[in-house]
Amino acid sequence: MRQGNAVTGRETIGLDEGWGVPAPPPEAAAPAPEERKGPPPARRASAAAAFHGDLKTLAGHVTLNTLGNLVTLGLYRFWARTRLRTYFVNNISLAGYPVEYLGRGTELFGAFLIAAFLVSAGVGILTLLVLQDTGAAGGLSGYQMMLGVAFVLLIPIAHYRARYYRLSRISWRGLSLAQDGAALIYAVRAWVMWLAVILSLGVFYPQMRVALARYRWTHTLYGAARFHFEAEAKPLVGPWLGAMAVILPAVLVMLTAILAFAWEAASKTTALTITPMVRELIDLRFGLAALAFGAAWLALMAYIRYRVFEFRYFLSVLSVGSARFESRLPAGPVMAAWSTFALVMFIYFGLISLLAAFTQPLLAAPTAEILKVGGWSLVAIMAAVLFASLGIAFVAALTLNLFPRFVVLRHVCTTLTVQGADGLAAIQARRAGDRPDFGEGLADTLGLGRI
Amino acid sequence: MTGENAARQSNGAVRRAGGTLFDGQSAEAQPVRVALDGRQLRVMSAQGEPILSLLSADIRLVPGGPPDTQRLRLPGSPEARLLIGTPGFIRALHDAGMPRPGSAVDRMKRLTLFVLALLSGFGAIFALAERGVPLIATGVAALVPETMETRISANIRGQLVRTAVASPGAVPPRACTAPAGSAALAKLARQIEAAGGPKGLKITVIDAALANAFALPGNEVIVFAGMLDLVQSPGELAGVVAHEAGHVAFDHPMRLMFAAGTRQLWQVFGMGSVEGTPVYGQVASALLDTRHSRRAEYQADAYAVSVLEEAGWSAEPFALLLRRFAAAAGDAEAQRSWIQSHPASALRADGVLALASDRPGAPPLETIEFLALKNICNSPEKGRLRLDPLGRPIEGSR
Repeated sequence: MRQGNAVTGRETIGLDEGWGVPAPPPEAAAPAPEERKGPPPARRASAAAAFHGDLKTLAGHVTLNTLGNLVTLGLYRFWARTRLRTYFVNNISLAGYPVEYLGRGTELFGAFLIAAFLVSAGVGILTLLVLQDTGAAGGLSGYQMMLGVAFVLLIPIAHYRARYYRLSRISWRGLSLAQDGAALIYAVRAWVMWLAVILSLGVFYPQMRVALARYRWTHTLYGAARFHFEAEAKPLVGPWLGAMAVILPAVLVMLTAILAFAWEAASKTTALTITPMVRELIDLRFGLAALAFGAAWLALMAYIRYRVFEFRYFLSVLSVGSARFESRLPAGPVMAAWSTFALVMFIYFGLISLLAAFTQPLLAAPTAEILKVGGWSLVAIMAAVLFASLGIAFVAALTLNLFPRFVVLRHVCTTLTVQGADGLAAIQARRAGDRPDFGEGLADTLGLGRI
Repeated sequence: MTGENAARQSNGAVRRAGGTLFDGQSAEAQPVRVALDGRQLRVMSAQGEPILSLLSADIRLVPGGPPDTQRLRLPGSPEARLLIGTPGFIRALHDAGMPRPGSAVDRMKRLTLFVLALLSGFGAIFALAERGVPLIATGVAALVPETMETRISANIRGQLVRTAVASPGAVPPRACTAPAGSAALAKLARQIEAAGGPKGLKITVIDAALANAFALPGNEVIVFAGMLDLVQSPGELAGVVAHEAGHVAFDHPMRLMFAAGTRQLWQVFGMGSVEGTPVYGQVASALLDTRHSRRAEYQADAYAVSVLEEAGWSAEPFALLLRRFAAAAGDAEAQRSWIQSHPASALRADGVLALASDRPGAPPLETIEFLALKNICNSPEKGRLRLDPLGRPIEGSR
């Protein structure tokens, strides 16, 4: 059994055994390669994954990214995203060998320019049609609905195309991942499956997840080797129904709270008949709001619990070449990380709302009102707001990258094992020219550009 | 010391080590021996057969990964990597010319590059705001057919008017059409047209207290009754109409609409990341907004001056009106003008006076016509609340 990191050279294994083993660090005082020849040890059955990232480096990246985004008013985000991806991916090692991200910011930027031009032209024409449409003054016009539907329909296409680029930029053992298949076919499946999920009030969710994951993974390659994915929805139905048992009541509580506030607002302006029951709900609206936040948290936790189960299951039915995967990822730490993130985001949006409430009247109110703000000059106030926004944005970005990204990735890596990775050595590279030059433009344009 | 680690130098650098080679052609991990020969890195199979010979300066260290292993990017293949677990050998490679990512010089270089890139990014945004967006907006606005403009105008007029008079219990405003007033308005429009103003100018007076006027796509100008209450002479009114005619002549409504669309898209695109980027997108959008619409105001003012003088009138009353706006607003307007779409009225008044000649002009309308126009809505006795340009009620207006 060869344990640990193959590239550290700490295990004693013969060079002629066929596994790459660099010489050990001199301070390790391990035997020199000549002395390490001998009978090859038993072939490793499974190898672990690891994450080597440190928080100090991450904080440095987040700081530079925040500054870059500020100075370029958001245009730096392509390089910022690449910097973080490089950090996260390059610090993963799988079965002893490090993974590497090869993408560049300019590739994302180029794709953004192309997509932004096409989407702008499309949106511009549709907007003109909306504006000249006589229905625009009243309710939704046909064109407006077209605009909305177009965006929704583009989402799975954007996701699939973004994955095409991302996989092509992840390399391990000298070969990169790849994706074939057609974004449009994937999108059609996604639209049909999502419709089924909506019509079944969510019951069909695991089927949707499995169907889409199957399309994604059976169209994923490592070098020239295709992944196999033998998932069925059946094992996921139980856990999903368990999650639904929490999510549905939680959604009901949230809807009731929203309704209570809507009724309260409506009762002020319109001649709405308020029944005693509705009146009671309106009176309870702040209690309901607090309850709704609790319910939202519970729903999030139930969903994460399901997703962690799904993740373990998906990995267990995934294989490429001789390699199979196993994850023992526990749900607890993932839930804790997301809870921390949710809490910080709650505070973040609270502060943003406060800032907005503070600045809105400054920008919109009659001039006389402005001078009432404690004698501050407007420039000073605007500068303070900008500074505060930057601080809040930095804290939010740091929290997002720490919880859940850093923490969850570390847990995912330390609980992941690969069996039969030895056999991967035979896998050849795909033929040249299969890599996209640009990527993720559409996803970024639609606001789906995640890390 | 024997073997490959033995060739150690005084600074701890070693010139030979074992490693793992990924050639980028297959996933095979080839155990290799590496040796430094001057500035050349020689990669050999475990049996000692030569595989590669590379110049150290062409090799790059890949950041991240396990602390006890270094990953080297080799020239020639984008994915070929050499893994070395001997820190001493990496030191020797650096000595032989492989760039050090952590060195002070390198850090300074990268920081300089970073700052330069940021500055050029900012420059690109500024160029886009200053030239790109107006250029695109002008080009696209010219492509929109007249019939479409008219239909768009009809739609947004309703929305604009509703927004302009939005106050609880406001009566839906109507267009004012008292015959004598309409005749005076038509005369004014005709004279502006004859003085080189836009052809087919459609001026509508809306019965609302707001002291304002708008130009809309499709050669349309909306004047609110509140503005008619505020103007004190035919020259002032002619100035307001000529200014709006300027917006029409430059196709500002469509152009600004496209510019606004571009800004909105920027905001949407700026939201590509959850990491605080919306804040930046909004700032960018606000900057673009103020710059374009302010420039349009100055353009329309200059146009108004030329039309007024071409018609044989004086631009001075228009400047007077702007001065009155400025006086009503006080210092606050000047302070907040830099975030507003309209420049400060005092600055505009100065601009108008600078462009205007001293030549006295004839009044654009007879007093009787002017009074008829002021009464076009024929409803001062209805107790309409009058608002000044900043939306404050004018005392005694009820």
